[in-house]
Amino acid sequence: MSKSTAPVIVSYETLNNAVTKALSKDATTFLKAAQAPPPGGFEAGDTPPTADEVAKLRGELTGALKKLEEENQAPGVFVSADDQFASLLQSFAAEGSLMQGKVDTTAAGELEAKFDEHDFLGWVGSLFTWVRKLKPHKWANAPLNPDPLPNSLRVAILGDWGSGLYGAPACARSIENDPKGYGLLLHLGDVYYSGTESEVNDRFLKLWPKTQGAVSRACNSNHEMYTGGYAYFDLSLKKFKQPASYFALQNDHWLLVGLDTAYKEWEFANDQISWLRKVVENAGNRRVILLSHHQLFSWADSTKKNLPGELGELLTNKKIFAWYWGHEHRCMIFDRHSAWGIYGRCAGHSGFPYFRDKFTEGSIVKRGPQDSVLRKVDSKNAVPGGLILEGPNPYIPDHINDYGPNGYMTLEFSDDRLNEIVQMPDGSVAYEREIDRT
Amino acid sequence: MSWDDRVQLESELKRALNSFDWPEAEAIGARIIKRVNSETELLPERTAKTFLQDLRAKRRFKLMTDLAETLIQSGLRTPQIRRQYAQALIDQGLLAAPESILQSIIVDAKGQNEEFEARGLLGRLYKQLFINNKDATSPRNRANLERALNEYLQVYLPDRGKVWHGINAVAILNRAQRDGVPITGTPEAAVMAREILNTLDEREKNATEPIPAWDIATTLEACVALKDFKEAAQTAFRYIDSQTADAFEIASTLRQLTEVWQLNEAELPGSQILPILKAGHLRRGGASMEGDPKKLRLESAAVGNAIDGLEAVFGPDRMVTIKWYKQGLDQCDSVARVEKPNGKGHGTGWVINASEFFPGRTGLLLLTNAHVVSDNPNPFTNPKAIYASDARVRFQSLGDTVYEVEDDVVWTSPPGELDATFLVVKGMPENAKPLKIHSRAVEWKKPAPAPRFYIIGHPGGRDLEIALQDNHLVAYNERLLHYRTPTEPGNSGSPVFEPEDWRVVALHHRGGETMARIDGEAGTYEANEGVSILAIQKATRGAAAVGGNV
Repeated sequence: MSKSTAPVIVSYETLNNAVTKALSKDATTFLKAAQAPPPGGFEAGDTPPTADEVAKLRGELTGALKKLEEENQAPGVFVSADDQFASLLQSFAAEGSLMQGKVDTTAAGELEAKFDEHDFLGWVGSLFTWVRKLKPHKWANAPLNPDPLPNSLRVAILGDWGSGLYGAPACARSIENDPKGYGLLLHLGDVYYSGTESEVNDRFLKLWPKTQGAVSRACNSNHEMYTGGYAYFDLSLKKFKQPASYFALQNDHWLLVGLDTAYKEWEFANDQISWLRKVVENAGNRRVILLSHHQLFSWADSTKKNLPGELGELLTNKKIFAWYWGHEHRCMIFDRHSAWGIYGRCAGHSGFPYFRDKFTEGSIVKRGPQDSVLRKVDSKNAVPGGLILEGPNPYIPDHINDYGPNGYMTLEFSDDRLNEIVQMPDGSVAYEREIDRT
Repeated sequence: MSWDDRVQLESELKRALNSFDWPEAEAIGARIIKRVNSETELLPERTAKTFLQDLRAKRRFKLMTDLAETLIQSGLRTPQIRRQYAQALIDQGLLAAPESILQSIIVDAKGQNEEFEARGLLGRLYKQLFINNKDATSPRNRANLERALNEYLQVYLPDRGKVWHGINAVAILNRAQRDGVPITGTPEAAVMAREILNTLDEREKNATEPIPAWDIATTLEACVALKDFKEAAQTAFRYIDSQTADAFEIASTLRQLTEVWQLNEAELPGSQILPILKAGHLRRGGASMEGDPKKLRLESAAVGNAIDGLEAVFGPDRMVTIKWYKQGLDQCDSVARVEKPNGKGHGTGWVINASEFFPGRTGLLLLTNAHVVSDNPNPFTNPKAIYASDARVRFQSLGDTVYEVEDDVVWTSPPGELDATFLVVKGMPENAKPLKIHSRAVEWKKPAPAPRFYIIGHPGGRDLEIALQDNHLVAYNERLLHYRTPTEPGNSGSPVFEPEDWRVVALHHRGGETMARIDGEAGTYEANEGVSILAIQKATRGAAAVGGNV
């Protein structure tokens, strides 16, 4: 119920400057600031943090800065890390800056938080009060019966789209304006920085494509769960009339299943696997497509974790036809997995500004719109090769050539046929192919 | 410079004190102290006395001490100023230093009224030492009782008109008898009590104006001493009806009756007198009471018994105040402590009838502040709120059971708006009753006296404590009410009641020294703030009408 606000960028430089200077104050000053009650005169009882807890907070702040430094690329450009405290810190700073009018408009028209150590010392008590009580939203069980889909269907897939910035709004407008329309809109998760209520409202729901008659579904993600997933469960899912963070939809030929890999990160929490087995079993001969935030495997980044092999015989028995995921910020069309027969697809490039890939493996096989290219790479480390979308990002002014392209995917189902399209934010097509069903 | 502006200063201080504006009173006091320190001319004694008396009447003992000390250092060392200084120290529980001050007054003011006043205070001081010590068998403590008696008798015996000293001597003699402290060579307590009653009767017969409240309190004690319980109850009613008895005086009488006379509500005469006095106390501006909610429930039962007994004797018309008091105590049953999972208090909530806020919805709900419980608190504007799934509700007077609440809040409005959250309590206690909502908006036109309100809540989330405080209105608009309390700040989520029929007018949510004014003036002032219950009701009904989150 907070007021709508524009997405605010909390740059590493501003955060680092303010937090480092605040931490360099004498210990008593910082302790007093951390123990100060939140402003407003509200009288709810609250125990101020102990000196030990404040010391821990200092450590977390330092750790968060380090994480963000590792991810930081260009000054003033949106940056985020897969780190709960860093993300919470950025959400808090974004909210505080906006509320106190401590924002500047960048040359590209974005709002950037501009605060200093004095502001931060005034905020740190509230930050601590907020962070220490966060916990996961209650789990919701999905129905066993999939929602119906028509046999002729167009599906838009956006992954890691919830920045509200750069190519994200353009993707949404292109989907809205696509003359062929869509019957299903999917988000593979991540609303930055940590899925707070205002972030879900302003970076996600407000910009989500308004396509007449389309059903919307959203996967849970690590960034949304950093605040416990409250806004995801209570706003996004309610808005989408989606009963749970995992879901199933089907027509006569296809079963689409969204899985929650974030409630417990990198796990299929609670009853999902048994539920999935039943849903797949009930689906008969329908081909099964999975959707999740986290990836089954990664070609480009071997340091990233992968989902565990809990799916067991569903994979080895080649029950899964394709899997679309995000989390990794790029677009990749994998070759069919030799053992599992699965088509892996990474579509985590929709709205996050990711630093441009500089692969030397493989070769460019196709040039596309917005100076994009498709690089064909071979399999490595038991991970299939495939096509990687490369190129500049015209939606990041002053850094066009530093960042990789945003965009989205469209799936066109026509009875048992499936046509895949990779589209740039303006809707132009970078790749299109019907998937081999043999 | 001189003290030509003393009348204005008196008026300013009085106005600040009467409106419970403590920061303003402190500022005026600081200004006076600064002037006293810098002026070459002494502050006129009469003005000094007025300042000190006004501060004492509103129990601003610390400021009273500071001012008295400054006055004495400036050269205004009259017995009366020193006595008031000693009195301020005693009122703060500081009993060692005042003894020598009072002893010096006795020497300096030999034979004058101030000697008698000083002896009375010394008596009070020794009496308090005896009570604080608690050991009636200790020789040293018994000496305290004897000293107290001696001081009172030294005034009363030569001048039987000094009934206040006399009745205190009677109280101490009775106490000594109950505690087995041997006292010899004094008049009999009952004889003295009868004599005091006669003196007061005579005084009243000849009086052209209503007799002072202290005299009625003295009559009451004399009736207790003479075991004339019906007359004692009758006098208690007179006392609380007296226009001159303020909350401080009635509280002092209550203390005397419970601490020295050791009256209690389980037996006569305490079972009748104490509820009457407590009712009268709470009716007075600036009153407050607090304690274990379970004890307040017992108190309500005791008051109920007292009403049964008193109504038969004094008739229903006499019962209005005491029934009002019981009604107030009964409101505490509907007020719960909102706790965190670790059992620590986080705020207050209270029971409402769902249908009054959400047409079509039945059952009972708990209303508290959004900054106490929220479904998705804003990190910046609402960091304190806990999730509903973390909230526990404890009705301390209804069996002290802890209840969980449904994870999904029924309706919420953030702190910057209406600061309200409605919760479903799982297994709401059957005997929980919804509070009554006042259907009329608050109205007040100056210069009429400011309306008063009562707040019931768990101050500071303290364990096993509920407080009922008097406040008075400072300003209001359609959404907010500003009021001041004479004691500590309220507690988030408390109901704010109008004073006639215990109907809720607001949901208390915050307080501070620099609240933005809503009285049409620019700037800030110290105030507590509640959200109009009608504004909340309007919003919930509006939300229901448009299919909001109800």
